[in-house]
Amino acid sequence: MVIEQAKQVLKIEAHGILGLVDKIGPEFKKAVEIILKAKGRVILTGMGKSGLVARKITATLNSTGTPSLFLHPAEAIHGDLGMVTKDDIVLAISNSGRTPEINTILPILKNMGARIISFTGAPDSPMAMASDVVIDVGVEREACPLGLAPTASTTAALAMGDALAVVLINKRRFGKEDFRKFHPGGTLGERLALKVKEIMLTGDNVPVVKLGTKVGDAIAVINNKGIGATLVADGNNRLQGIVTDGDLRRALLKSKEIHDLLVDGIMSPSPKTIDENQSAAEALGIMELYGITHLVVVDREKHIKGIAHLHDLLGREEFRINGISRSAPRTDC
Amino acid sequence: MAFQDPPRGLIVDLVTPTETGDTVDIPGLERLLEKVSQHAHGILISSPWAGEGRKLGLKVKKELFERTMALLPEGLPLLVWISGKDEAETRRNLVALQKVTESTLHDRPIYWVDTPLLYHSNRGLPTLYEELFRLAERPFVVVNDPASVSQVRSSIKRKNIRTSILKEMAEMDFILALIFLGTLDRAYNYQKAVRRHASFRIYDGDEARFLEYPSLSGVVSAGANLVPDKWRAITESSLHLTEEEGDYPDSLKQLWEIGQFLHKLRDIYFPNPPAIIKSALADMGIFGGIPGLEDDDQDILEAKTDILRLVCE
Repeated sequence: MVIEQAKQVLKIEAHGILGLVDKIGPEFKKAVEIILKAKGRVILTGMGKSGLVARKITATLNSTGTPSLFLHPAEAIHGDLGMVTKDDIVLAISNSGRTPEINTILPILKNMGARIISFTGAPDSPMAMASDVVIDVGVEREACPLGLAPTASTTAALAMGDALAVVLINKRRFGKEDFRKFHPGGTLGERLALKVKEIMLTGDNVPVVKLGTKVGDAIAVINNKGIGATLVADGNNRLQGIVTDGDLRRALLKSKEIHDLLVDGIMSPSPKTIDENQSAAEALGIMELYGITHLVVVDREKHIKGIAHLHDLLGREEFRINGISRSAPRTDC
Repeated sequence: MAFQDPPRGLIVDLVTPTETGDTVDIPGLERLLEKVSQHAHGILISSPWAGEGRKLGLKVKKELFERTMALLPEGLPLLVWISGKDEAETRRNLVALQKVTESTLHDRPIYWVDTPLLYHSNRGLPTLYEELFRLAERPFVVVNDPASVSQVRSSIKRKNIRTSILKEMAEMDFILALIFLGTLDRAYNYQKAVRRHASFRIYDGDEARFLEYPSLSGVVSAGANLVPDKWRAITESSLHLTEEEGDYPDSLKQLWEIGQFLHKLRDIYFPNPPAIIKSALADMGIFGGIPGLEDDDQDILEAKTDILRLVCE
């Protein structure tokens, strides 16, 4: 009985969403065009469960490049209408289209010059009549008895919101970089939980010169590898020091002709190091403590395993992860 | 030809008040309509369920139709079940009832309700309806009722309207709705078939189904003869016909209690809706008496007592 009932609920909700497929038409297209042309934001509003759906759609639009705000209809008439401008688009959600709080504010919003899009199951309702564009999100059957809680109807409204957001993503050519820009929290959290060995640069990507290398050659390596420094190693690849952009500037202050000098004379001999099994969060802590942007990854015998850069900890497109080398030299150091 | 969309909401499946079996109890009908019509979005008469449509003679059907049209508030849609035992009788019923509408001045939306599989196979149904429409140019509501079809025509293979046939019929601009009884899976298929027609209604013919997983077109309810206000409250809530939030803090609790009440009530009258409901209405002072009900019809008397106890609690 329990299993059967749960399955039935899912079937009803699934059919509710499938029913929307045939309802996508010119009105939906018009809504997309209005939002794309808008100079302002998309203001979502709804009461009760529809309000919760509106909040979720707000979050989805915001994280996919469409600036949005949630406006509580009851708060709106007590001053929050001030957050709306004539350049904004209002997206109102009400299954009945008869929610008094919404129908009170729509004429005011319209007078302000905002255009109204509505999601409703009742295209002949007062809310629909007051709207510039009406998107029918009506379903044929609810999964919850007695109207105790909207189920299929709110699921349908939520899905239609997703459809709108995804179409806007494509229309705006919203890319992976944009998504990362809007999601620093999640990405950073995930990355800082990784181990240093999962984000460090390795192999040919690590700038290394031998003791006795001329500074001119070291500059070429620094320039080529693009992280603003090169490590200095002995014949057994054991760490001996680091030459950073700062070391080069300080050397130039002493003498204009540094190309023929040896790295041994200008390098910092005791760069900060970290073990490859320590966490990225620990690496970040060390960098913050000493005000540096690199950590050399070494084993117990000081053999060089790699180098961790601040940008790789925070997440950069061309980082190395699990053996995948970065694709191109960096120029942003 | 464009017709008014059928109502969304509560369609009261009116019991038929008769005096001797072939005469309508007019005062009883008046009192019943006064009780239910203010809560109904539409009234269905002579139905095969509470309305005892298969037992009623054409004379009673015509009288019931004429009187109901006269007594109902202006504008309230009226649905009339027309099916006969065969195609010829259905045509006769339709022509006779159409004549009744022509002889009255009452202007209200009228829908012919038909259970085609009681007398016809799936094959050729669209053609049949084109012919029926020519006889009486009013919109139709078709009924899918496999249980009733099984009782009447146990030998036929298909007891449900085929989905493809329904799809074809929904394309006709005078077939506007379906009263549905059957499995939920079939309901999904039917919904899919008529999806292109946003105003096409699929009413729940099964009250218990509506109380669990409500169709957002509405319900055909026999129980609304007894407690129309409660059925109206549940229908409005289920169809979101009013604002989404209740005005009072315990509104959900009240809806839950009404739902449980309607379930219990239905369980009592379900074995024989017309007899039990009419018997209870007689005790409630709506009808003068129930002809044909024997004193020793113990099951009905017990059910009636249970209903009265429940309603008066």
